[in-house]
Amino acid sequence: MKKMGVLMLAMILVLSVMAPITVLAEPAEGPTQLAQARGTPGRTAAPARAPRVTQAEFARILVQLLGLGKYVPVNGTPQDDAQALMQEGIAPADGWMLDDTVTRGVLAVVMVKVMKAMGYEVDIDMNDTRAAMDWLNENGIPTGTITQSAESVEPLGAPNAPNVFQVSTDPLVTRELYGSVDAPESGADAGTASRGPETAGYEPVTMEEIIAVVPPVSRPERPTTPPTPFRP
Amino acid sequence: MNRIKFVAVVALLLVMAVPAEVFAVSRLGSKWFQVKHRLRVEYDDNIYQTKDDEKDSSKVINEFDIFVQAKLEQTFLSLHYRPQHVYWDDREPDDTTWNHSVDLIFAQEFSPRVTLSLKDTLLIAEQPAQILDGNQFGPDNDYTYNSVVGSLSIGLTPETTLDLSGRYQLLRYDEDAISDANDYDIYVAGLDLRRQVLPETSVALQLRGEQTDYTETDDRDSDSYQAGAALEEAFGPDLVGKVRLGWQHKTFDDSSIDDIDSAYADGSLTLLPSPATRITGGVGYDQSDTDVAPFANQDRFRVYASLAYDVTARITWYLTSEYIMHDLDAEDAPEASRTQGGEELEDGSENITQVSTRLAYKLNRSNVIEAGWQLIDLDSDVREDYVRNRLSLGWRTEI
Repeated sequence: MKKMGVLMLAMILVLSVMAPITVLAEPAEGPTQLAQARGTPGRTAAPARAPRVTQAEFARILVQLLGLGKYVPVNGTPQDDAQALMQEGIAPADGWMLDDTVTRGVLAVVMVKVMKAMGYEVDIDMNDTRAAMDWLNENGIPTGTITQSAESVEPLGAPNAPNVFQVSTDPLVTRELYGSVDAPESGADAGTASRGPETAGYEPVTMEEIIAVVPPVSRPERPTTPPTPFRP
Repeated sequence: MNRIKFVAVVALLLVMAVPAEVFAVSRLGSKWFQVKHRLRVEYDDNIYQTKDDEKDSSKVINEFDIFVQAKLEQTFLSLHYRPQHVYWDDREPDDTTWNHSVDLIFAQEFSPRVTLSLKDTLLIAEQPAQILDGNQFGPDNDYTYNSVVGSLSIGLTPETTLDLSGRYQLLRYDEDAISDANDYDIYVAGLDLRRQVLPETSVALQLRGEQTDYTETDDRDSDSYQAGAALEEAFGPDLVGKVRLGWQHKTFDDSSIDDIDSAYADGSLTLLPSPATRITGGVGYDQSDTDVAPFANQDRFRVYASLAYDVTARITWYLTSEYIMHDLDAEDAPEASRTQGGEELEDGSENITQVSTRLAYKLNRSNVIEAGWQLIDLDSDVREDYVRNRLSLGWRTEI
């Protein structure tokens, strides 16, 4: 089991290092097809000159560019991406239809919400396509293509909800957030709530350990019970 | 320590494997490098998390967030490094703390149907000894935690995907008195066979194997296996949810602890009742290992909810809460540890309540003022209870 896990990780790491990395000299016309590999139905390789981008692919791009990748499982699905974006208030007016192609209207509505999550002051009906397009034009944010719009996307400084608590019974996911120390987004210390260090009330403590932890510089006023370190 | 070096070397190799030109030819997104700063002044009413004789202190928390990312046609790489410095107004003998957090995310598309994803989380934190009345109780508690998880996703058909995943976690304390009971290595292997049955519905079969190895002691080591299914559903434009459930079989290295067979389940919902409101909730139940020695297992039940509400275009209010219940059975401890000093180890339970609220006011796109309150209340039969409140006022800025 242990060897199997190590072997699997080693294979993945070797594959990743050997992977050919394509650096584009010129911008291409369409975004990546990363989400395609995740098995969302109805996808075929898009023609090079007229790429059709699904909402699943668009959601994946946004999750990455907004810095939300940490909060999506590494084997996450398009729905996981959509859920992470929704927790930031980002969704098309009709919700994420992951198999549908991204239209200009969907792009405009989503981009306005992205801008709001990034800190722009947006005071319009964000589900109104016309109002969204006007607002983007006024603020100089291009909506001709997804590639152009993506140029305006920046990582969120302090993501909202998905990082707060991640309750999962999946050992591939759970304890992902051991708990950044003193992180205000973590509600309280996520580490305390999940797994944190705690010595035992029943662990045997040797005399050497007691001497080590209680220097004889002054007389302890607390009982010399086994030490209980506080948790990260 | 060798494993820490191994993880660090692997992470560095990954970064070095990406040509330097990548950073200059970022295909999507305008910012490939970003530095943010967060400054908070906080009042903490129980810095050592004790039941009695609570020690309070103010502190100043300085945190930088250094961010690098590259998004190419087939490759995505992002690296977050967050060094944090804490100055404590009233804590002896060490009035400063340094914490470091690193997140590395890497994704590579080999073909339209084959994708590799890799994520590494490294946390190095200082937790100095507890000092009360000039006496030191407990050794230094500094630790290193790392989690690396990788997944290879293979599209078998347009509707069906196979994911092969692996994970390795480690926890290491600096002081022997702590590390002897708590240092661990956890290995996880996973397989997901996922099928999109409807545009708004996907189902998956999931298999997991997890091995927990405590490095200095064998009596709490365990193997856990899960077999189950997952369902993801978009109920409508404003409501999505997912459920995961199945059967868990757990065995222990210590022969005096019986195997455990139990159901596990978790689910979450995200709701957007209005463009200004986001609500997320979830619940989960499983058998998990515990940080309370000598117990090797606990029943864990968790429920949480989170609300974000845009009060105005500039003001956002966040509220989160979580309740956790742990049930610990003396039968799940090694037989040799069930009696200590003539005292029988008893069953116990823990109730943990956490609440947090935060109000953020956007001065402009680059500056946010925020105020927050966090509460944690630990009510435990097996360790010291405590209640801890933290009040903070902060300023976030992009440099």
